[in-house]
Amino acid sequence: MSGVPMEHGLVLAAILFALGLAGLMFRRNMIFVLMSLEVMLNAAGLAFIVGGTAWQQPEGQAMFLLVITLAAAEASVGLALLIQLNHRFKTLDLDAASRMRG
Amino acid sequence: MNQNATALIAEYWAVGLFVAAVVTLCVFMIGAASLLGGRSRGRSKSLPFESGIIGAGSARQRFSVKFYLVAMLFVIFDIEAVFLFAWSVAVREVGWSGFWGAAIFIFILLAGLVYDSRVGALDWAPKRRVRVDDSI
Amino acid sequence: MPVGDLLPELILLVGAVIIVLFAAFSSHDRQAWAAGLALVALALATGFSVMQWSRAPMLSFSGVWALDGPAIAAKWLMLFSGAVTVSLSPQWMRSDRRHGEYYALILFALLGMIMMASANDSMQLVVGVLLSSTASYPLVAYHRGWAPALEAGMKYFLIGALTNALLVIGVVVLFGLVGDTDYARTAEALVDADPFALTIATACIVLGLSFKLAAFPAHAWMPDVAQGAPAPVVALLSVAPKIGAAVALARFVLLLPVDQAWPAIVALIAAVTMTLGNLAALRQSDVRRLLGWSSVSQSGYALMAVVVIGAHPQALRALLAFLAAYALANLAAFAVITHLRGRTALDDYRGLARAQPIVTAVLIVALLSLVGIPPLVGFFGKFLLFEVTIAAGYGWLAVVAAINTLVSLFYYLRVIAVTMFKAPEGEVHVLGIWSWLAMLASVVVLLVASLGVEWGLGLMASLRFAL
Repeated sequence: MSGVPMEHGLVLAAILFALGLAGLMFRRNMIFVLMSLEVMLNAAGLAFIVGGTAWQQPEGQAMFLLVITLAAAEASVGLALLIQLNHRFKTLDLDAASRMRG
Repeated sequence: MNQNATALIAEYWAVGLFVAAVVTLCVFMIGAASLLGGRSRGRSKSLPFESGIIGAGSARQRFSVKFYLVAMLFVIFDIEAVFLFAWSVAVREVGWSGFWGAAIFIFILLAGLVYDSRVGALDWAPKRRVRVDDSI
Repeated sequence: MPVGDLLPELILLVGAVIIVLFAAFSSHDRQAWAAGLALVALALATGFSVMQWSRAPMLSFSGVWALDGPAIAAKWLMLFSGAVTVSLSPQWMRSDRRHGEYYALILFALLGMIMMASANDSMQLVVGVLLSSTASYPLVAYHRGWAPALEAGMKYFLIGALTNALLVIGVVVLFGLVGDTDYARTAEALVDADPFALTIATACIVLGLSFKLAAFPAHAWMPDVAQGAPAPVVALLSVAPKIGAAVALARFVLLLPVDQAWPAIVALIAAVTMTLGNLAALRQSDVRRLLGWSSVSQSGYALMAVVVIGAHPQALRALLAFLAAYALANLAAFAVITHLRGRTALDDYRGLARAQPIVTAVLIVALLSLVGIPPLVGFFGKFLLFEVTIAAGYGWLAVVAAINTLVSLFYYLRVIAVTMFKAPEGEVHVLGIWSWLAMLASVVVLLVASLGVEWGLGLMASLRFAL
């Protein structure tokens, strides 16, 4: 890795992950929740790249490919659910779809 | 530090000059036009128009939700292609077993594509919705 | 490349692909035939995994894929629960105009769960968990026109996506510590790893697996899914992911250095999970929700064996025996609910014993086995759990579990009492011959397991993880 120290990459990944987690916790709009999830998974992917480079192992990059694939699959399922949520409840607010309790 | 900065300036002064010239030119054209030109106001003059026709409706149109499916399919198939890149850089090392692995992988993707086209996920024009049912 | 070591999984994969193609090209009234294809695939996969049983425990694909007793036993249980689910489904899904893909999703989910149980590499674990999760979300929300199903799918998705992201983070931290994802090399390198980072990694991975186990912090989806998802899907999701995740967790915690505090953390999770599940189940007036909470509490019991997995040589046997007993009983219970067309309010079960004696008998056997009443296999599972937990010095955990079992007796008996002693109301509609056969098959296997428990435990006594 030329120039960029490992710590910088890890700090960036940690910040991205924290942002995604905060978004997931505090946003009630499904679209933002999905975006936060995507940010979290990509933060993990970045950390894999950084770790793989630091150890000189190809696993980091292989894992990154898997992570983005799985993130895409998860996002598409999430979007399908979102569209059904919008059809059914006429809103994207997650609290509207929370009727089962106890 | 100081020497570094000097070297940097020496290297990039032409770019800086170019940026400054662009900004100056823009400021001059807009400023001179607004100072020298005349003004007139009217009801129709403040309306946005396009080729002489006054625009209708809002720019924020609703798109059919079918396009989500196209976008999602694109993303998924696009990302699956990444695995083939990984195979392609190692194609000599993995040999025939790698080839069969990749062939099975492509076959599975193809099955997904055939399924998508059969359930009508790929035809997004409304008039061709003969076979299409509510597949999402 | 030792492709033969993957044959059961490959058959599931190819079966799922064939079902997808079949569903695309067949007419609406033939969609149910996909169930037959799925059953064939499951039977073939089971046959090939039986052939793997006789071999010595080994690691395949340069150490990432474990072919040992626990993995194969877990595979059988998961394939059986898949078969029960598939045979429950055609009549349940009859009103859905296209449901061929549904069976493909079941096979994909099973494939992911089997990968979890066999994973000997953290990369493999992540892929297994995410594959099974991603295939399960659409299954839960399959009745997309029905608001509770959608809500359950939504909650399942959100909790799942969050915990899966945490799992990936845990694996990243582990990879950063070790520089490898292979379990064997991980165990070597973890001996002198930074304890703080290792704690974070362990916590994230345990949290990620607790979602699949429906154990405390990530248990909230279970009751909603039990209530909202299609009943056959609940039969699958309340059983199979837990088996996969429990085996994966047991395999993972054995890697950790002995001076780590993980047994205490897992013991705490186990205690909280079983108590929470039981207390919540007490208040339910909805049978499916009640069974959902009871399934949460059963995960707590299963975690007891994981706590002592490194401290007692028979802990693995206790874990597998308990999981098998739980799986059979829960499958039978949800098969009954499916057969009764998913009737869910407790009041609807009034006087069922008079209207449907055999169905009620199956339900009672299943519930009694879930409590752990002696002649049934559930008793032996729980007995072994208590034995290893006490022997390994976790007496307090065994006491908590014993109290919880007493509490659980109350709500299981409440369901039984409603079916037995109340006057019947209205007519009882049942689903059809397929769900009837699946229900019967699950209860027969449960009874056979109860009778042959000595032989089965003898078979399990020698099970070890391949290292």
